[in-house]
Amino acid sequence: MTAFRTLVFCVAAVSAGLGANARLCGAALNNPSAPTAAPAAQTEQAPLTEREKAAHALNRLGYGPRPGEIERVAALGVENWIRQQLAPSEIPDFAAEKAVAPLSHLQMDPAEIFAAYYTQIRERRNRVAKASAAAAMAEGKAPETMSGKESKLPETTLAKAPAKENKSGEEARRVVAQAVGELHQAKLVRAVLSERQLEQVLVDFWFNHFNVDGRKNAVRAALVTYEQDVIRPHIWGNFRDLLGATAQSAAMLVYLDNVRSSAAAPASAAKFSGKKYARGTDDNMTKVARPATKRGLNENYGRELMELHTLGVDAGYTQKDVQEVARAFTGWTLVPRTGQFIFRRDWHDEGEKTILGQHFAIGGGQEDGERVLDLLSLHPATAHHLAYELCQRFVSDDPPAPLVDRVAKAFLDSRGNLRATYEALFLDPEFFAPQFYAAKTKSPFEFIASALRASASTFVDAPATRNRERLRVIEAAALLGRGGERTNALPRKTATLHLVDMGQPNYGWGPPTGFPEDSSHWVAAGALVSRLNFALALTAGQVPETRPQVRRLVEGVNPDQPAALVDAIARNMFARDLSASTRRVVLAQGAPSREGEMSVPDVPRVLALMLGSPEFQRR
Amino acid sequence: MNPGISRRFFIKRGALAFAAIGAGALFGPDFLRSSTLAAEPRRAVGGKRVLVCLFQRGAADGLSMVVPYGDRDYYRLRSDIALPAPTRSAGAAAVLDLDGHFGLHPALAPLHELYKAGELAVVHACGNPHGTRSHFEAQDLMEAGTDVDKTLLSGWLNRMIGVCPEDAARHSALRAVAMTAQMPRSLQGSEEAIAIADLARFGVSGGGASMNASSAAQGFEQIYENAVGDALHGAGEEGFAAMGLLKKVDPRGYVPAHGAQYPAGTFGRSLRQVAQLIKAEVGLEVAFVEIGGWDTHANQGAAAGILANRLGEFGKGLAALHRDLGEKMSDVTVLTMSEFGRTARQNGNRGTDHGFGTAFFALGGPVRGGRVLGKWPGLAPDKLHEGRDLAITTDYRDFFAEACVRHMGVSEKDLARVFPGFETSTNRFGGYLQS
Repeated sequence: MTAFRTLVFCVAAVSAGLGANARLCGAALNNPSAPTAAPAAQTEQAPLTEREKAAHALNRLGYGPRPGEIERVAALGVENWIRQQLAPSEIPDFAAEKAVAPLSHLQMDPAEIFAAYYTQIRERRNRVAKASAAAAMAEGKAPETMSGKESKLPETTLAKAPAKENKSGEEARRVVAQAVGELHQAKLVRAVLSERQLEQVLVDFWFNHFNVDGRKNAVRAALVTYEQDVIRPHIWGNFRDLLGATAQSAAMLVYLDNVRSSAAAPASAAKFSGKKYARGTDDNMTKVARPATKRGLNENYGRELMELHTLGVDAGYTQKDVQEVARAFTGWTLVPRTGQFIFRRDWHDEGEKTILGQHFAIGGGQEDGERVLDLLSLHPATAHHLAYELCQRFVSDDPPAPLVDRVAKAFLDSRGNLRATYEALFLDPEFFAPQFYAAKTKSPFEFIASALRASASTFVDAPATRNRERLRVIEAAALLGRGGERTNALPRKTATLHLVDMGQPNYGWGPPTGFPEDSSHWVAAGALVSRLNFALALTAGQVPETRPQVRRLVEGVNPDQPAALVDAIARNMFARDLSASTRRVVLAQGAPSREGEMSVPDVPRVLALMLGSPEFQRR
Repeated sequence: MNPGISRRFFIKRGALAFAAIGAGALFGPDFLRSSTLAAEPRRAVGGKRVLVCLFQRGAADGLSMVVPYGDRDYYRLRSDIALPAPTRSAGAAAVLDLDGHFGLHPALAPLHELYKAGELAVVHACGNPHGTRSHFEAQDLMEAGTDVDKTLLSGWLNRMIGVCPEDAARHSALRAVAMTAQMPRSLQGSEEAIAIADLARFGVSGGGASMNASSAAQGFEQIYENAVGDALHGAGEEGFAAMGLLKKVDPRGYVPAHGAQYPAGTFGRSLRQVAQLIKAEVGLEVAFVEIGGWDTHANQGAAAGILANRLGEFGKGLAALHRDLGEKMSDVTVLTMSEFGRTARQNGNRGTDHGFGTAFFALGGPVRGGRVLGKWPGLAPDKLHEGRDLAITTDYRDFFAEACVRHMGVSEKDLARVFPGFETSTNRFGGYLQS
């Protein structure tokens, strides 16, 4: 009844030309359980059953249930399962480890990948220089041939550069691209196969919180170590350690430009800086570890550190604070070509500073930055900001304030212990409040990972290794926003390429905000069509690196009973019954009746329709 | 604000619900009328105006597109890559004169015709006055419609759709289309928009031998049709509505009119698809197209070379669109944009590095063209931005805002919603459209 009345009010508002409350009503229409719109309905909802709780936990702390898993978690006890997930080192994880092991570029020394990036840049510069010389020699012959999009040079000129150097440049480029492609592969493999589900979700969460964009300069060369060495080992400990690790990471230093931030030039030098600027030409050479064209402060990291990493926007800090924080981090930079963190005292602004009301004395050196991180990491605004983000990821797009406050309190009470903070969130009774059940829309990555899990898909190492390697390079290019032609030319898209189609190129997202945690971002027609196509491709065995185990879904079910079969598949994916309408369509399409007789059900088709259904887009 | 639910989508749903429930629903409670949350519905107007936005990704060299041949400093700064002034002795390498001071790159000859016909205007020294020199940051900021606010997640075009009046009869799943695989930042947001790289391939397909595509699509369509009460119900219906409309368009069978010849490649295909959608009258209001390859750090060439090839494709594509659309061009305005320009001085590799101001074009029937607009800052050492780049004298948001108001009918007061935190008004407009 409530829903009906809400509907009527909306219609009235619009037809009267007022448009009043259109959004609110729209929300009520589309999500009857939206807490703000229908508080009356909320209290009437029954608490979740054990089965529903198990499915909810699997969907929120992990990437969705595999066949039979809802029952297993319910039998174990949902709280027990959550406690296991909170102690991942005790969970054996052979399948995921075995599947990730062959990805050899993930074992490389980070400095080696970083060096490869610079080889690539240097080779390109050499080629350009050589080609310029060659072009100058062959004067009168204007270069006209158009080379590929990537190349900056006409083919004819490029050909004149010595082949050997081209090869090492090409090799260096391949190493970096291969590493990015493998990183993505590992992310998907772990999401699907790992028993340590919460850990995988948290790595994704914190990477997104401390987002870096692989498309920017040298960031791509630091992605692997950023996820594996900076984020992953620190997500169970103290927030201060995680924050400190990101602050000194090559990826973050390059991404937010701190790598080039230094004390402002002395006044005498500044006077001539205009002239110097006009003459300074080596833009490409100054990407790392040298202050750009002129020395000076870069506020980028200082601002995002407070706005996104810790305090949150509108937390009361000022532009002056941003500048002072940036001053504190001057000299936090990288060793060129290895990407190792180094503090350069000669770049550091040693003057007095006042940050968030605290006095920093002259000559603080590297300690200036460390003290800022201390201050920020345990600030109440930080606790609230992090708690809100966690609740938005794990509970609801619009999480209830009291829950956020309780999680923030756990963070502060434990002096920033992350495991204690997660525990407070997942074991809070409100975590299982019925209005949050299936209330979030899956992100494209969550959709793909959960579809692979629901279909019991395995990973296959086909086709031939040689092609696989090239494929990773194409994938990396697609994630980093390039090579559309090569992608389109592929006969079949990999899961990673499908992901790009759906609008979530992991590791290639520009803004430092990361992908939106508000899941309504993912409700869009074009992307939804891409999801349907993925469901069809997967179930037909046309996603080259995976094989769904369709038979496993219907073990022990009599194939002559289409309805029982559809229900069996659904029971593995959802804790609740399919909506009557979806079930009807699935049944009609998956086991069409001919001349009054039910035909043998087409299991892949039944599965495809369910994976593409609105119900499966939820978690 | 919940960006997932488009107001327009709601209105559409609301209208359906109204039809089902009947006139009894007209009695609305008073509190709704006085609600401070009230958002005005889009004003309905006639007409079939279309705005096409064309992003030149990679930072296009404005000083080579629209050459300030009357500025002596230009030749001082670019000894190897400058284009000669339009004198008789310069021949085919010379720029095509626009107004005695500026000239078009010779590879843009097709656009010169449109300039002379009064349908192409240039705004020079345009850009984001607080922008950065990172491609991705600068593109993000420009597409978001802001100068520095990185927290703005929706795009300016999407927000514009939310405040521009619409012809009530034109509700369409193909109202805002990006000819790209991913939704560009410009069109992200709560208003319905769709990204389709290839019209001929947009649809539900695959499924192997056991399942033919049309029946799979039918199954999904029924599921989403029935899923009333689910936010995805709308997204699904929009997707299938777009597919349905595209059947009418018949993308595979399209033949451009008036002998128009689009350049081969993605860019030409994108523009051809824009023309197709406009001619098919499927309700297109906003189209987004992109063309890459402008990051000319080395050997960019002058009258011939890499940049000239790129410009050739760019100019031919726009001219083909113009020719193909014929009379329909009277309802179409095309804006071109790029995240920043390039250094005024050539670098050691006969290319140019990341710069600041660049040239933006406005093309179409409604454009008062044949003019180079914007204040020219000059290229003298003390006039260059930070001593190295063409300065910016026109904020790109003023350039966009003029099309919002004078082409798409956005009210002046609603501009603040399209460009938050930016104060613009009609007296800041360059005047490339009739007021």
